[in-house]
Amino acid sequence: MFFRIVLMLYALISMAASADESEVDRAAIEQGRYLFDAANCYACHTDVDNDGAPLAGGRALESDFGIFFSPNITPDKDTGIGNWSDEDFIRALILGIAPDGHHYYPSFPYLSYQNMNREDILAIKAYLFSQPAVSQKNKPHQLAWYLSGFTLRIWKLLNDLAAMPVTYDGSRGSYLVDVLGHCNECHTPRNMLGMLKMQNRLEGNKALSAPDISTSKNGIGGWDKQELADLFRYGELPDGDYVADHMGEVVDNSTSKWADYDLQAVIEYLQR
Amino acid sequence: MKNIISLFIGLSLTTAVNLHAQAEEYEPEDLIEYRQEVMGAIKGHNKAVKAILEGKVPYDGHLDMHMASLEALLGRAGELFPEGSDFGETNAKDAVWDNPDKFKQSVEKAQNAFASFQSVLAKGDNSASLDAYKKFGKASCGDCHKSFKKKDD
Repeated sequence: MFFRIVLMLYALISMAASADESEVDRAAIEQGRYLFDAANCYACHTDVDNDGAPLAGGRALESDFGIFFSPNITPDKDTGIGNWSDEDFIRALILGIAPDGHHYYPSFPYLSYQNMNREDILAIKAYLFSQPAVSQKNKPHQLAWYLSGFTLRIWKLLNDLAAMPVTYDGSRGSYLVDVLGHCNECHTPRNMLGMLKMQNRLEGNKALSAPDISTSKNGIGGWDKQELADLFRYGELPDGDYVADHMGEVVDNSTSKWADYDLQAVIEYLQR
Repeated sequence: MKNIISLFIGLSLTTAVNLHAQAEEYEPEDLIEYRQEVMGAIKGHNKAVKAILEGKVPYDGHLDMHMASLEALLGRAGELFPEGSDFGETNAKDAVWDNPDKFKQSVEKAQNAFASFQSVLAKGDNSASLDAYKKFGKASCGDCHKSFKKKDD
């Protein structure tokens, strides 16, 4: 009898612990989904134009250096990230290095993500691992002849030595704009080597048709708070037009999903 | 009944063939310029509706006029992209002509979003109308631009 009672108590305690754990998991996944949206992972890792499976990669990202194809980030163990450890995922996001040691091209915005905090990175991983696994092999990039793993290593070295790091001032607005939202990647001009010119931060990149969003009069200096809120929530521009193409995706997948306090934090940060 | 359906299908096909034939007869630059003017008109009416709903201008009596114009223009927006008008000074993406079914769906989505906005507006609650206006803009112009318009240079 005594043995039975002990067994029942053990079972009850185990069930309670397991319920607590699943509660923690659910919270991490939910937090991860919010951060995943704020980092706009969906747009680059889903081949929307060709009705590709969500997060299975294969989206073509055209650039002056050739065409990059985004990788599969579903939890598929063979073709996705299903075998990645927490440390693998953190290293990929903040250093741009894959678990097998190869370096990612900066078409993946790890230079912005390098300031993401560890807890947030792992929450994004938890969310990704809660999504359906899709078996789809990654497509090789189609790049200019002079680009290879070797030149990429030299580029990263030069970038570390010569380029100013991507801004992050520790505020929530900066975390959303500079880190998660990686706005500098498109809106800050680059030099001939493709390095971000942070001294001209957010002044636009004509090659990407990304406008000046600095506080100058050529940028968003004349915009009021409501105009900025309408842009981020609805994609509406002050002249009555609506944003197009990639920025349309940014609004749809990311900025329109910000909580009100994050929207206000971004507006306050951009108007400084 | 069969005769009516046949007549309707016949007329629709004739209109489509005529539009296609007409488009081939005209200069692409003129078609593109016309399209941009009409899109500009949609933008203008859109902005006018917003100004009225926000109470920035004393023209409440103009609201019906702008809404009727928007309904008419959105109703015919799909006609503005004939074959042959896909090159030159246009911000329309190739996807308009490469994925005509998706483009058609996007135009229909815009028309449905307008109808939803119109029904909220008819109830006369200004705050709800302004909210509905913003949702209409995102689901119509915003949705179509996301997939079918290039960013400005």
